[in-house]
Amino acid sequence: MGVSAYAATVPTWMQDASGIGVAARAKAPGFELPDSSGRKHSLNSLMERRGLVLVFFRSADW
Amino acid sequence: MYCKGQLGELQRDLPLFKQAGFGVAAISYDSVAALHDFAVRKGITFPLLSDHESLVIRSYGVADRRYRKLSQLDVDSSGEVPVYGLAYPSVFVLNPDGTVRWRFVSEHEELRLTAGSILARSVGQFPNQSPTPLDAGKIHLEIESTETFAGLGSRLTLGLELRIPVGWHVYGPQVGAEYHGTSWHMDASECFIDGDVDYPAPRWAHPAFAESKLPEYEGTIRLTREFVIVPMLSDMKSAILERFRKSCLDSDSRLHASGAFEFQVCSDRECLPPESVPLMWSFAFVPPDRTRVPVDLWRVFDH
Repeated sequence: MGVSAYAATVPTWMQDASGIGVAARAKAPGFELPDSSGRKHSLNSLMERRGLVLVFFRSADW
Repeated sequence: MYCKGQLGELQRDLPLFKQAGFGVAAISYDSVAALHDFAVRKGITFPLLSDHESLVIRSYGVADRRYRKLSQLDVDSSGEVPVYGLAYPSVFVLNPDGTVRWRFVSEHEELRLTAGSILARSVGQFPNQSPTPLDAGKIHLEIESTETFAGLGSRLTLGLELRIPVGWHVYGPQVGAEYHGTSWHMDASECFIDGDVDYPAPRWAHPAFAESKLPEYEGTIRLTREFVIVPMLSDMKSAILERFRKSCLDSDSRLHASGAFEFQVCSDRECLPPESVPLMWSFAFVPPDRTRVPVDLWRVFDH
């Protein structure tokens, strides 16, 4: 049942750009990267009991 | 500059993510030195990872497609920055086996999920904001939000929690015109955009007086909807921020969003008159963080 018919439609730009980036349920690529102190981290080392929140951001400078 | 706000929110909510069993890390194309300067200035303790050549950003498929080698972007008044290899603002919440549990990639550079909304979606409950109870007659109604503050482009989640006493119910929005289904609308504003209401699935009951089954809610239910503070700063000019302040904020720098919740409470024998309860959310406005790292740490065209 399309409950959303009862409300305004969400504009596209507000939604997840589903065609870009690793898809839901796919395996996330592994990596090894240095943190702000130069210490290396991998996907496995960052993973905790229920998972990992991995954020990509534009810049910490501007 | 919006990203910096999101990282601050993640730091604030870090204990909640940890308590819920999630690691937190953030990746950008910044150098280790630039990330170090930012982490010290903002007290960030979770890993900020430097992907200076954007290899991981590309492997996740989130390098901003608009930019080519030597592309640059004018940032506020501080000059042009190289943006080749820049990431779309993205969130991937991974399961312990490394598969993507849910994701949100923002093609719009100013749109950010708030930390509270990431937490709410990952854990299935709102973070520790204090809900506001409203006078709604027979039912107990509380308004909630994943954040008590917001900046331009913040995408957060609003909630309504209904506690319906035993022996009573309200109707789902799917009920026909003869009945008063629950309805939550927000007043139109140039300052925010609200998403569709996410209604839980109702129980379809067949009361003796009705010709067909009716959608009912009983007990405690929660309705949610996404909510975005309009990001107006596509050209990142101070004048536009001033315009937003004038038209959207009160004298205490707060943004208000109003609406109404309509419903009718019924039992198997009677229905009370339909009610409309005014709703109001209020957010402290957080201006964009315009502080840059020292000039000697600025990114140069080296790739």
